[in-house]
Amino acid sequence: MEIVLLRTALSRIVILLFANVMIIPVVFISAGHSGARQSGRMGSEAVAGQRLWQERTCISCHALYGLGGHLGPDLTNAVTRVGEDGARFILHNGAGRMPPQPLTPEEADRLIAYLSYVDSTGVYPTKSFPAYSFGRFEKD
Amino acid sequence: MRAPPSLPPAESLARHFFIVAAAGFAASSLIGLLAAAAIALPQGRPAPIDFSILRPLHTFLAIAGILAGLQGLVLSIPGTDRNPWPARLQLGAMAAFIVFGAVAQTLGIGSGREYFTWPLGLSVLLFSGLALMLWRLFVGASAMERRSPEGLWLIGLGGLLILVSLIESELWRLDAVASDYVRNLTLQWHGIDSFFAGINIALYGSAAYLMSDRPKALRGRGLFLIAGFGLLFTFGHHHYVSPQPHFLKSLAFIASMIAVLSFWRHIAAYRTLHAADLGERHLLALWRSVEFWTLASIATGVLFAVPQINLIVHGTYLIVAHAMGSMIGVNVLIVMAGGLARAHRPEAVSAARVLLGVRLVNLALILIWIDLGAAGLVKGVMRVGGAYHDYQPIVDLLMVGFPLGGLALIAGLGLLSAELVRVNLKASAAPRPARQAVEMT
Repeated sequence: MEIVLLRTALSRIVILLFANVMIIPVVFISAGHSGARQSGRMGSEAVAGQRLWQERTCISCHALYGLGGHLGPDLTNAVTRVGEDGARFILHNGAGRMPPQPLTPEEADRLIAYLSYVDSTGVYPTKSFPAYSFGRFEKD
Repeated sequence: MRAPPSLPPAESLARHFFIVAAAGFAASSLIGLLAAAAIALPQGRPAPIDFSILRPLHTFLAIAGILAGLQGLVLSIPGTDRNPWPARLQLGAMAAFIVFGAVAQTLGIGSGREYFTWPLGLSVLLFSGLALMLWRLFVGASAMERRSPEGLWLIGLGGLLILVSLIESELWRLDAVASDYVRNLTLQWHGIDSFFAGINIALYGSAAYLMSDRPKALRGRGLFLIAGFGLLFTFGHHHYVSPQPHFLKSLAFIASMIAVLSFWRHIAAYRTLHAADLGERHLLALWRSVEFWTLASIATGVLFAVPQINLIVHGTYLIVAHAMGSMIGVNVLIVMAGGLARAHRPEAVSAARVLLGVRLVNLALILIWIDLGAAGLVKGVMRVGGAYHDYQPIVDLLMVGFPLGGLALIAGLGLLSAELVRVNLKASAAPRPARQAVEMT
């Protein structure tokens, strides 16, 4: 049946489109039950921080897990690196090319809650060899 | 502007899309140069325009130009529908998308997400325009399938994938997605991968359809299944290092390695590319560049998808170089080639200007690859044992050369864009001659 279906362009379009759409629920379900990470769902403060991360276009200069801009440092494990207070200080005072961010203390807390959550999901970039090519998700 | 009498009204609207595409490329290049200058500035010197505005605006204008060009190419396919109204609505939707998107992002209002940088409500405009494009395509599908079944499935699937990815890009608004970082990230990158795969195959299909008079039969079932597997499962390689499910990474690795087959196919296509296929010297030069940068993109894509290499290159400027090579060297040049091939006054095209433009774009991309490649390698290697402050001064030093590549790119794309506009603006002053040489019959 499938071989017959592959004979025309339209049938090939339908098959690949259907397969692509079917991947979305597979990703949705499997990613939601990934055993690789330590954290569960984000709290409301972290979700609000994620919104703020998007509204302020932080991704232009910073990356999480290497995805994003390269002007500033990757922030996957920023909270581990500088601590929550250090992160708060940098947000309010700026660092390097980054100007001070016009955030209220509550907004800064939300952003740090989001970064803390991301921090708890894994380690990036790798800091030692032998390296973990598919990432590393248990904390030191 | 009144449509030339020798063309059906819907097809004559294609030239407007080419003009919009050229404007998008020119604006994107200028914003890109400003962004490159901001990167090259020493630490502590704030850029005149905030980088958080420049980067998404640059990406948006490039994507908008490519999508406008795609619509121009698909509209140029003859004989599917003579009714101009869907094409006019399509043009209006695209123009509104670009204008509102550019203004909003200049004001700092965007999605804050990768690639889908515009305020996501504007996706409705883009979706509507592309849906009209596909409607026109599928109305004439049976006639087109007779002429070029391979072209039909590439354009049709590509367009539909873009539409699906626009819907997928909105899923983060659901609480079940927004509150789960891994789910959000994995869906986001599946959407991005589908979006660009859709653009790539639709552009390639439409340009190949328009530029060569060789009929394109459907590829064999085995090759189709392999291509389909690659298309569906490479998305996981964009973030091997994230906590996405392991089986997606393994599937992505297999699918990415299978792309070697596509590499060999393009090598064969490059070697057998002859002037006789394209008719014009400048079109041959453009298409040769497209094939060259396609080869470079596939080769680096396969290499970067090897997990041990990915560990070094991921999250560095090497990925930016790969993306620029694909978007400019392949997508933008396909739009240029297709737009010039379908020019309403083909005899008005200045081959010398086009050839110079192509050479400058190639030179710029080589400079960009060298510069970003070096900066990427420094970061990728040094970050293993060091911190941001160890490698970033060296990266900053290397990035001083980045605006040079940007300048060459502006010169090259500027020449090509100006030519694309010139030969399409002329269409309003003089009717297109009876030449239908690049149609497939």
